[in-house]
Amino acid sequence: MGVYTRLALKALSLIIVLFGVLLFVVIIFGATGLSDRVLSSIVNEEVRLYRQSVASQIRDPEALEAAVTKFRAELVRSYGLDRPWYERLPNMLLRVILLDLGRARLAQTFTGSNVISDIIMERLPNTVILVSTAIAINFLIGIFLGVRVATKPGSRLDRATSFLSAVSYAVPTWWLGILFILVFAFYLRLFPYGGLYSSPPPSDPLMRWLDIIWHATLPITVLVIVNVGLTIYVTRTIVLNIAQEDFVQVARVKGLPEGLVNRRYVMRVAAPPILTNIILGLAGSIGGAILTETVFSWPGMGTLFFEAIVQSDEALILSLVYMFTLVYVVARFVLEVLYMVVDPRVRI
Amino acid sequence: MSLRLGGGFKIYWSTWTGRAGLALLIVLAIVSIYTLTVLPVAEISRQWNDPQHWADYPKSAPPTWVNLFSERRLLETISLSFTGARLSGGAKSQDLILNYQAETFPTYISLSIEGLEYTGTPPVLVLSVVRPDGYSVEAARIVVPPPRPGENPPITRYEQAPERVLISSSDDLARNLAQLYADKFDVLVSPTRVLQEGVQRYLMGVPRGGSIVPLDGVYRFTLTALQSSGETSIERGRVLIGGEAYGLMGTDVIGRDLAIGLLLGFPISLFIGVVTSVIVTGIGAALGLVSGYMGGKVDNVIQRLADFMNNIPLLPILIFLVFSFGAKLWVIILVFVAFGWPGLTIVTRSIILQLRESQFIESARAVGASSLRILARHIFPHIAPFIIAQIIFFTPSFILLEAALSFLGLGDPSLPTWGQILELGFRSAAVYLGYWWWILPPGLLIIITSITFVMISLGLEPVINPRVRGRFRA
Amino acid sequence: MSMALSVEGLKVYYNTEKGAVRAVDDVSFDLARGESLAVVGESGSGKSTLGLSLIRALPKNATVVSGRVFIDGEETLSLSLQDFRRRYSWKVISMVFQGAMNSLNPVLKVGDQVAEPLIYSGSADKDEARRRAMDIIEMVGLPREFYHRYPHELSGGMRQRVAIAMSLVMNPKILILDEPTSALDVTIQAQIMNLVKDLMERLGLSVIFITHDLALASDIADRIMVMYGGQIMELGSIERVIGEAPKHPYTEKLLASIPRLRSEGIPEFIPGRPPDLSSPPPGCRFHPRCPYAFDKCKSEEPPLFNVGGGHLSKCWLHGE
Repeated sequence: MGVYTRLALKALSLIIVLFGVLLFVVIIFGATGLSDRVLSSIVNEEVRLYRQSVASQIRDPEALEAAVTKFRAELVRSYGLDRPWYERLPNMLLRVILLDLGRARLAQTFTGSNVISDIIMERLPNTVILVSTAIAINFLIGIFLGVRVATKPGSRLDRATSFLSAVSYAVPTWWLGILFILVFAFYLRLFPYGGLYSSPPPSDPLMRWLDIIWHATLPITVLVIVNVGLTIYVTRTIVLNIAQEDFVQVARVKGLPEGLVNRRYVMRVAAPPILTNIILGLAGSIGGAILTETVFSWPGMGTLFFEAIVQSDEALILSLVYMFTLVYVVARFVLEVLYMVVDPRVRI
Repeated sequence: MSLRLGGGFKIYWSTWTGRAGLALLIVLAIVSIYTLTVLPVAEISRQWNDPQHWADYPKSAPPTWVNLFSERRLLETISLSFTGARLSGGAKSQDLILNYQAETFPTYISLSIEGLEYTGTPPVLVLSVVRPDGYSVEAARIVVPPPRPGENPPITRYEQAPERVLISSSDDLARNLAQLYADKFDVLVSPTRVLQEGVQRYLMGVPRGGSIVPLDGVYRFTLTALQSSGETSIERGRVLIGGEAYGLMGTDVIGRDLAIGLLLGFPISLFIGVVTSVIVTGIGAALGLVSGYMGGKVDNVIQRLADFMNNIPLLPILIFLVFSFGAKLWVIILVFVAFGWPGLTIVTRSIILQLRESQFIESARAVGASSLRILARHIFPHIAPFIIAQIIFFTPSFILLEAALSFLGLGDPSLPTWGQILELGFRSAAVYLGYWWWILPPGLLIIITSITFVMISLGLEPVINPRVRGRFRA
Repeated sequence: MSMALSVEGLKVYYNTEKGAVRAVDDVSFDLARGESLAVVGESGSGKSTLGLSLIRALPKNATVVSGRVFIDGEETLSLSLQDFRRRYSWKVISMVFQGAMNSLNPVLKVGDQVAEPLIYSGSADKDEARRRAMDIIEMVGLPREFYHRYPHELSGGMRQRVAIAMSLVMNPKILILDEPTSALDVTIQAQIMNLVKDLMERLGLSVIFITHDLALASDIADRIMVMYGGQIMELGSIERVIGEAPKHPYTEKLLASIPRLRSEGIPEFIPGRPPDLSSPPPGCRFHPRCPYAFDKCKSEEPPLFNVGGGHLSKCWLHGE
């Protein structure tokens, strides 16, 4: 099997995942009657706009009413509201895929648009930046410390790490975020309570970036702290196992310098399983991001999710479930490609 | 088997995590049982979301024990109450004495009257206050409604819900106090300003050097019923001097006693965690068993499904489902169950596959034991300890997941949970105001409860092989 | 002319929870230049530990308690590990480790793994190293372009060839082969054996061939050393030990346990188990399983008797 075939298969299976989630979600959406409500509100909104636009042309109130009723009936038919939900399933599916789900109840973009796709596209980059930075830092620190710990298995430091990684599992990310706000924002006043930048944001581009970094410090720290224990522990275990492999000792006997042995024979070999671990943790990181964003009012899709729940905005929630799955699937694919680069065993 | 169990416990007990975990679990269980048996849980759950019930409590007040640590003493809430008072035509009145010794003012003052009964003309209740400096002021006036057509004396009022007057925001009192300050202290202050700064400050203070300082001493609150004829009796009445601190754990923005909410969180949290985990583990292990043992098409379908569900970001979908079906406890548990089983199924299956190839299963099959018998007699005893360990291991996942959903506003509103206490705290900006007593305890309790199970898991690890680490987090 | 390798009184113990395990217990022997010596024994006889201690690749929990190892006349156990690796390891004495799959890094091209020591010892630049690695890959019977393959792309036999190529890249004088054919099927085994014989001849190698298979040993070696319980039981030329008759009961039993085609007798098994080397039996280590054992065997350890022509046997049957 060639590299491309393998990648194509991987992509296909991820698309099936995406599609499966979508189908499931849309069925639930239809069966619980939520899709009726969403579509009706789209129709109502369009009818309202239509009434406004034709009100100036049609003076006679009865004729206006008739025109509006006719327009509404057409819309109802075109949206499939006159049919049961399962008959308009394909249509609904397509709407979700294209993020064509009308307007949000209250959420808006920075510029004031309340079209769902606009809002999501504005929030998406913020989430991607936050999550990817957190994942990257988590793994840099986790791998560095994991390797360090692995050099002294059974030591006090090693046991402490294993214990702490187990304990960090019991700490809710979002609560840690709240605690950090209380300590570092409220009492110590070192960091802002939340948000993406100060208001008003600094005009100088460099200052603007520094401002964003300043705002991102607490949320990223929280995401890293909660996850890094497990990363250290897993890295340690992987490295420890590989260090005991025969080929590492063979490399030493071959007379290779210790640094090279560690790089090429331990770390290089550990890369694929560590990457697998990143892949496995990806779904969890996305979940953690929803909560962390909410706590820090980081204007990403997670905070939007929270807003959508509070505002009972069904269409927005549906779009977000889709987007989160899409982000996951794309990130997963990128990592799978990376995996093929680091592990020659899968690129036969 | 019993010997092995005993030996297993010895190993378990030899780990400090095992001992600590078990001790914590016992504490959690005792608190839960106490809550369920001693407290009227159903009633409290009902009251919990009724702001009326908490109207008389101080809002966002820290626990009283902070006074042990702070230099500035926070005023504790003082309740002056009476029962079965008979008042008649101004001749008899009810006195309530307050010896006020504090450096600060109350946060509010309220009067509530419950179960009033009168004959004759409808009374007007008047609460007047005599201050330590001898000046007196009318603080509140309640006009009791006249009989409705067809109502016969004695007329009862305020039976269902108490009549409550928030003295500290009364326009009339503000006006009276402005008058008093102008007359007695030569301080000119508008009633609006009195209202803005807090009526209670002026009621319980004196002007000194341009500002109002607390006036310590004995205050006499006198309740009289103005009535041209007849008699009035009051079953229960209370003047509440609202403090800045309350109870063991403080209160939230609605005035709810957080100690009660936190106590109720114990059984609910344990229930959600343990019940969900038991069901998830049961289903997951059963499917794994079937999948691994039957093989073929069934195996294929189950594994594909498990693989699919293991490969999706869980939290957004859980949020979506709980949102769609409504935030009810059983919905939450059902959704957890629906999405919790795959990990365990995959692991159980792989264990079964190994077992199936093992010699004793082969020999059992060779002597003609039925599949069911092999499953029940040979395979199940082998994986039972593993399954029990998994129940314990998965429990904190669900406790944390429920807390996360609650925090996002998707907790069952009829039950106070720690996550929901935090959610309200977060939404009403408790964090930004530094209301630590509202934020820290529920979070710490979630962590302690989860850690209990994590520690028991760690203690079980050396006992039970093969050990498996799940990956389920929120 | 000095010996290629000589070992004197080597003792290697493993530190375990049960105490010291005497894996190699007072072993002495010589290896002449161009000679091939087969070290034969059951698993747990200490033969692999012996091999690892010669090239100083013992696991962390093993220590050389006493003894001396001379390579080309120089004592090497007293050298620092760094010194030994710089001067001897792979350059003078080299090894093909047991289990070829495990001795190859799964994520590196096999050719690079062969060429690496050339580059890092400074004896060749990258291109030169690659060329020489390809030469050696060709020499072990693989196409030159196998340089670019990864271990998982090779069959077991090919991997073994790569492992051999890897061990020869620095032109060592002594080669230790630890069970080079154990995981291979019979036809591949034969090919590898032929390759080893061919290489020995062409390169004039001195070879220590560690195996549990007496037949293979007799096929390749000039001399044979039979180990049991960490000690040498019998040491002599192939002609004397296999060709004529073994002098030691253990060797005798070992020979009898080889199944033979077209022979009337059924292969015998040696009853009992190899000794627990954390508390070896007193006297002769083999006595609990020995059919000829008498009282002396149970209390006194026999010396290595010279039974003529440099043929040694550690058995009381030869003496009083």
